[in-house]
Amino acid sequence: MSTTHELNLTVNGEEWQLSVKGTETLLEVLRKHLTLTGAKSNCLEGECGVCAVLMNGRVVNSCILLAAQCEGAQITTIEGLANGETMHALQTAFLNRGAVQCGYCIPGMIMTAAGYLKENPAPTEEEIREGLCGTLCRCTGYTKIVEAVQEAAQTMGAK
Amino acid sequence: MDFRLHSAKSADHALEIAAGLKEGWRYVAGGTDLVIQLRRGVRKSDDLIDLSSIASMRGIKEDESGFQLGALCTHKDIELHEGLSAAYPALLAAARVVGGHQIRNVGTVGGNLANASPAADVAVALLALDALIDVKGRSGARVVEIDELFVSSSKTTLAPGELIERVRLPRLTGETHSAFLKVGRRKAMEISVVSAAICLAFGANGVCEKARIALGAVGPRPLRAKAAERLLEGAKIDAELIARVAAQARAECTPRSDPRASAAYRSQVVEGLVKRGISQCVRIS
Repeated sequence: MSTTHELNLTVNGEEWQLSVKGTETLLEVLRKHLTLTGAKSNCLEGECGVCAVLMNGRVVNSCILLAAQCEGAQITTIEGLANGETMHALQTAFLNRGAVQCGYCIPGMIMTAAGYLKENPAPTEEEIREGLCGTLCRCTGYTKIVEAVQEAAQTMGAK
Repeated sequence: MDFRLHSAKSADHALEIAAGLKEGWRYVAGGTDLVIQLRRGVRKSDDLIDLSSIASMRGIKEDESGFQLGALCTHKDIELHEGLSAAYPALLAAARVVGGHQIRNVGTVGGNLANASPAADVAVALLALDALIDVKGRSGARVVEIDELFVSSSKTTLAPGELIERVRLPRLTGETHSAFLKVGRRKAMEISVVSAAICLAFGANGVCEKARIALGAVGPRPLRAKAAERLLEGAKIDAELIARVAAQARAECTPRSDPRASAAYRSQVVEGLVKRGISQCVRIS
């Protein structure tokens, strides 16, 4: 029954012309068509945030966003966050702070933080916790994650 | 999840597509509710009409009469618009507690209304602010007062095919204060157990001239406690009156028990929220 749609998408700076099904989500396009598997496929209900990517600079749950609705959008995934070989301040801070346990939520966590820091570059601890509320870590590792985001905000602010 | 997706270029184009489809189609904007319902199979739709690329339904405008929000405005658009969020603190507070940032960046104000959840936070705030809804259908455009929009859970008074184009918020004059309060089982990412939006306008002598008490998740639709509002109007508000108004608001609710909370708990909470919301507006004035 599904329809087919021509989709122009810029993903991590690279332009794509794709043919997608009307029922396909942005997450499916990223993972299946472009083999970018950093964004995870988990709850598929917009609850857990491990599929988070930036669309036009704002964080979104790619699991419930229909790909055909993303025509012309600029998408950044965890694979495109570093500048070449130089890690993004968030990536460095997550390593410095040991903010990673199993690692499953970390691409989503970092992209959520990246979106939030664009909006609020100097957040308080409370604001960081609220900023990350849509992304769940089930290793209960929030303390170090929050510290890492704080450190990254300071690094980014100092530049 | 199986459906045909039709991309509408304009509101008229959307209406035209709708007219050519068999029953069971749906409009989709952000899709943050609909896509989940379709995937779970709790809702089936053979055709979705995508409104998300209709430019005329985007953006927030301000003029002498107040603010106009395109139906495609996201919760985040509301939150980040300084003029709007300063003028209507209740709307800002409601927009900020919907889902997480990922949802707020995608979910729209039109969708929040059309979805007609009794627990919709933004809908409750807009109800307290006397929003006017610009609706368009095949037979023309009309304006719906927000209190006339909701029927029951996921049912509105919109005719088949009619779509929400924009939401208008009248400018608040003089000493007018609004507040929005919500109780959920946890702090974030939570559907309201009870929500309350209060908007009070005061005259020069400190008398309450106009009162709006809008309540969420305590009835089949976002509702107004109109008898409670009448107790406030024309009165100088003190602690004794606030307690009476809150008890009256509670009496106007018909909450249900569901997995999130019992009816009895909701009744208690709504009384507390109304008290707190009124006190918040009075303190500011």
